[in-house]
Amino acid sequence: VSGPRHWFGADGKGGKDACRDAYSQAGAGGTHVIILNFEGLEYMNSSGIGLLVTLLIRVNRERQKLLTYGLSEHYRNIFQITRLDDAIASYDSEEKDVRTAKAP
Amino acid sequence: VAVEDVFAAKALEPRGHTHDLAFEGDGVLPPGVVGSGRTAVAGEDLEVDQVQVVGGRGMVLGGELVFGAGLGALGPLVPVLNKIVLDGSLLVAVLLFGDAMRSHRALMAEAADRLRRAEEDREREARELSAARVIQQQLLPKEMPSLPRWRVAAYYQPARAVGGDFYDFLEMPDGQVAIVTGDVTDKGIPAALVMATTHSILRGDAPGLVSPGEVLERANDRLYPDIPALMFVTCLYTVLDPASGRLRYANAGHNLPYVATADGITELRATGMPLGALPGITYEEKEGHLDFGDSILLHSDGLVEAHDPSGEMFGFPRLKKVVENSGGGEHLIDECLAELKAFVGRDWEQEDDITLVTLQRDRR
Repeated sequence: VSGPRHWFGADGKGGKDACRDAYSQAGAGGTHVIILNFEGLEYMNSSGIGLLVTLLIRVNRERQKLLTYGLSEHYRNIFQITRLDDAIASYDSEEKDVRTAKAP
Repeated sequence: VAVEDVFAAKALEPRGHTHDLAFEGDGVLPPGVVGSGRTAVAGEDLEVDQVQVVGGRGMVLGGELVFGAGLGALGPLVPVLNKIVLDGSLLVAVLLFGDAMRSHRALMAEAADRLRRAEEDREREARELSAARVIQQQLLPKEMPSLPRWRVAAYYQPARAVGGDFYDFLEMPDGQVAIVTGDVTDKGIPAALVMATTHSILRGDAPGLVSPGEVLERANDRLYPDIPALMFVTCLYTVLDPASGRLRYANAGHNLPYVATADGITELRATGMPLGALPGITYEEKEGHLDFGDSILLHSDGLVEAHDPSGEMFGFPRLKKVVENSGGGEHLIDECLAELKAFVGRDWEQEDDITLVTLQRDRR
């Protein structure tokens, strides 16, 4: 459960390409788990949610797992309403994500 | 880059004494004021009070003249031309460094022609957008449903000329009424097109279906094959029996409505994946009840995700508090908008479409 880290622009501009490129790198070479760090994220528009759904589809296709940490209360709520939390487990910290990923 | 080869477009008169003007660099000039001086335009001396480089590709002289620097043709200048027209200034000259020199007159004519066509395009786009807005308004309910002993109100404000939010009231044969609120990803024309499609699908299915979950399931199956990548639609589909106050609802990722009761505020909590995101989704169906005097607020994310000047988000807790302190009914919409206005401040530019729908059951 280690690999490259990528940062996306705060304004979301170019986020689609940045996310795709980051996934291409992070998801290659037998990666089993992708962890998204949402710490410091104050706003994500609905296109961002769309991007997550697309990422989820790709991750499922590759039989990988998608985990997150650092989501604000607002977006935890949004993840619940949209059922993204069914497929993307959210944790408070990266350590908890990693522990989950390492669990059998 | 030495400013030696200069072509004027129009209306630039030489004035008084002259000074030498020269730039040093590799063709990409840093933004900012770089000085004053003299240049030659079409062989004529020209005094320039202030030379300002804009973004490294264009220059403003004397506060009103715009130049494209380091460009071999007018093509890449189009964004600059558009900016000038939008700013209400006049394109007066174009600097060309090095390659592809053309005659002063030909350049002038081309610049003038581009300006004219850009102006025509803008006028046509404005007309089309205005027509699109009218068409979209036709898709929204022209009047509130007439439900005895209920008060219904709605507010719809797209962030741009057209929007991706929608709401609808569909009367069912047995006196029930379906209340639909939805929100397409993003805003503007792409969202409006998907909004129109979704609206048609939901309208088409509604008469034969009274199960909210089934309506959303079918809508998802129809939308999914054709919806553009990264776009989806959140939608809350609620069926109300006005006689009993019974509600049945299913939710495809839309904000949860707040219900104001005598005992406090509750949410109508049903969850589900937004429409068009994944195929073969089923939607849980829930039931609720609006008692005499209860109010319900349905809302899209343009309200809760509005930001104040410091970047703070309006948020669900603030909206919940507004509902809590409200007298209910149609006043609730005004109270939400007043709170929003106070929160975002005077210079706020609406970030996303806003839709609010309220229903209040009269007191016994």
